[in-house]
Amino acid sequence: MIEVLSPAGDKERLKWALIYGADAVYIGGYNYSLRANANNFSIDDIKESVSFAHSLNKKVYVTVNILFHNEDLEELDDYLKTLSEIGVDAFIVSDLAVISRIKELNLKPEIHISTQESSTNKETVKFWEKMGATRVVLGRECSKEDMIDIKENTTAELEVFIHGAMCTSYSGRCVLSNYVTYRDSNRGGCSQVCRFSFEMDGKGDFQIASKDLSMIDYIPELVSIGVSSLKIEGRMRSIYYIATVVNAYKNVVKACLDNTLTNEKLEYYKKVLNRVSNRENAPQFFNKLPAVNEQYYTGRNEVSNQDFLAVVDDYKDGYAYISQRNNFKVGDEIEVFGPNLEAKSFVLEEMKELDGTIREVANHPEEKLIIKVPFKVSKYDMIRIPIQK
Amino acid sequence: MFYVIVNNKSIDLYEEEIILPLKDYSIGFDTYFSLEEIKEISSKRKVNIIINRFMHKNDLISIKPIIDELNSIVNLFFIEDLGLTNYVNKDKIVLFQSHIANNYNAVNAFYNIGIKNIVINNDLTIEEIKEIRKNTKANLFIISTSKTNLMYSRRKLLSSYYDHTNTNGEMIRNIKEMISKKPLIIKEEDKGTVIFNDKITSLNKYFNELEGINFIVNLSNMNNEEREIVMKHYKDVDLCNYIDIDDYFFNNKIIYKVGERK
Repeated sequence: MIEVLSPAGDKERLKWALIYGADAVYIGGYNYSLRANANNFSIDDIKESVSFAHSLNKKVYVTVNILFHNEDLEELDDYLKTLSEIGVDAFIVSDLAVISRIKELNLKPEIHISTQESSTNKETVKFWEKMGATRVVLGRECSKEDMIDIKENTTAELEVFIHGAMCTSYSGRCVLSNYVTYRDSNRGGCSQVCRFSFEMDGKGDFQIASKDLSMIDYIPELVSIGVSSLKIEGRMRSIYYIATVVNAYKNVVKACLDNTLTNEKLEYYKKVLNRVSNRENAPQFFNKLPAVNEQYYTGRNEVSNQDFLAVVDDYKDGYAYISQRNNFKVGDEIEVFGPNLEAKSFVLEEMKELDGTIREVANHPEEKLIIKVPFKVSKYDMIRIPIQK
Repeated sequence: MFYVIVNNKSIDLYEEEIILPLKDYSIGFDTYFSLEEIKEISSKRKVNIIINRFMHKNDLISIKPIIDELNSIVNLFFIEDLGLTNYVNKDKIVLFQSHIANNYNAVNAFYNIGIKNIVINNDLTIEEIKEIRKNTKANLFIISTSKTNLMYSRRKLLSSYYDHTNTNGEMIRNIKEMISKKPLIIKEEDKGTVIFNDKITSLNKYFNELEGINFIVNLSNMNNEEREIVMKHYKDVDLCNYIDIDDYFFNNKIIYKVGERK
C-alpha cells in the first residue's frame, strides 16, 4: 500500500492529518529539525503523538535533519535514545554523523534519508542503502526517468514530494539565508531568501522563487513506478490545509488503486487543491525541466484563504455543533467534507447559539454554534465554501 | 598544501596542485576541461579534477566510462554527488559537498567507510574548524579563497526571468538583495544556475592556526583585478591588505541556531 505522508507542525496538526487519512506523519522536535519556526514537539508531545498514531496503526517519523555543527552533537545521543524508547518509527536524517550514532547505539527506528541530501540517482541511493537507510527521500529535482531508474536498481523504499513549496536550490546546497540574513538554512533558520526580490540593472524586480509543487496529475504514474511514500510539504500549514490536501491525495490514491479514478474525479480534486493553495503550482521536474512557467514572479503577495468556515464538534438529531473559523450566514450555500464523508453542499437554513438564540451571521472566530444540516455529519468534519462554486 | 581550481587553460601559470573542472559535469566555473584535455595535461603534470554537479540518470550513464578512464590518470577526484563514490577509486575521492561537512563526527563517519579526504564547509568559525581538525584523522581540505558558492539550482533562473520580462541578457549578472544590499553574482549554464557571494571569502589571515589542512583556491568568477591579486597573494596571511574580503563566518557564530529556538 502506498503511503500518504503528511507534515505536522504540532500535536493539533498531527491529529487532523491522521484523522483525515494520512498513513504517517513527519514531525520535528524542539531541536535538530529544519523547521525551527514551526511550533514543533516536546518529548512529551512526541510520546503522546506516537501513542495516538500507533493506536490508529499509523506511523510517526521524526526529523533529525539539520546539518550538525560540533556543538550540536553534545546532546544528540540522549535525544536519539529517547526517541527510540518512545517508539518513533523512523528518523529522517541528512548528516552521516547522525546515522553513525543511530547505528552505534543500535537503535530500533528506521533510517530515512532526508531530501536535504538531494539524492537524484541510483548510485546515491545505493550509497545510503549501504549506510543502513531503509528509505530515501528523493531530491525534488528527480524526473520520472530518474525515479524509474532508481526504483529498478535499488531496494530502499522511495519517498517523493507530491505537494507544497519548493526550494529554488537543490536542497541542502543553499546558504543564501546564512549570507543575507545570518540565519542558518541548514539548521532550521532558513529565511527563504529565494522568495525575496533582487536588484538587477537598477530595477528591483528580479526574482528566483519557484511555484509550488503539485503532482495530483501524476499520482497514477507514481503508483506504477512503485514509489512507497507520497510526501506533502508544509509543517507550518493550517489544519484546514492539511486536512484538505491529505484528504484529496488519499482519495486519489485510493481511487487509483481501486481502478476507479476518473478524469472527473481528478479534476474535482485538482480544484480542491487549487482552492486551498495560496500560491500557483506545477509538477516541476517530473515531466520536464522547469522554465518560466514554473517560476513565480508576483513577489510574496500570497492569497489568504477564507474558504474554511467551521469544524464540526458533534452531531445530534439533524443539527451540527460547530466551531466557527470564517464568516458565513444563513442563506449561504456551504459544504461539509470529512474523513468519511464525501463533500456535500446545502443551503444553510437555520443557525443558533448554544442557548437557542437565533443567529443570522456567524462572525466570531471560534464561536460555538448550532446549525441545521440535511444529512448526518460527524465530529472532525469540516465546513467550507463549496469547491464547485 | 594549496590546490588551485584553475580558471583558464594556461596550466603552466600554476605552480601548485591544480584542480580541473570536468566539462559537462561541473557547474559554476569559468573554464571546463574535456576528457581529452585532461589526458593531455596529465601526461605533463599531476592532475586533480572536480565534478560538482548532481548526477541524474543520463549523467551516470555518460560519466561512467569517463571516470573509468580517468581513474588511472587523475590524482584526486573532488566530487559532490555521493553516488560517484561507487565509480571513483576510493583512495582518490575527495568529498566536496557544498556546505555539508560541518562537524567531526560526520567527517569521521566518512573516514571510517574509507573516504579519507573531506572538504569541510567554509562558513564555519575558525574555532569550529580547529575542533574538527583536532578530532579527526581525515585529510581535510577547505576553500580558503574564493567567491563562495551560495546556491546551486537545476533551474535556469536567468533565462526564465528574461522570458518572463521578454528581454535578452547575459548569463552572468551582478544582483543585489534588496533589503540587505548584499552584492551577489548569478550565473546560468546549460545544467542550472549558481549564485555566488560577490565578495571574496578569505581565511588567509588564519592560515597559521589551521596547520595540517589543505587549502583550495577557486579563481572562477573573479574580475581580472581581483584574480591578479589573488594569484599573487593566495598564500599570504595578509591578503586582506590587498583586497576587500569577507571573513564574517570565520569569527562570528551564526545567530539563528537551533539551540536558540528552545
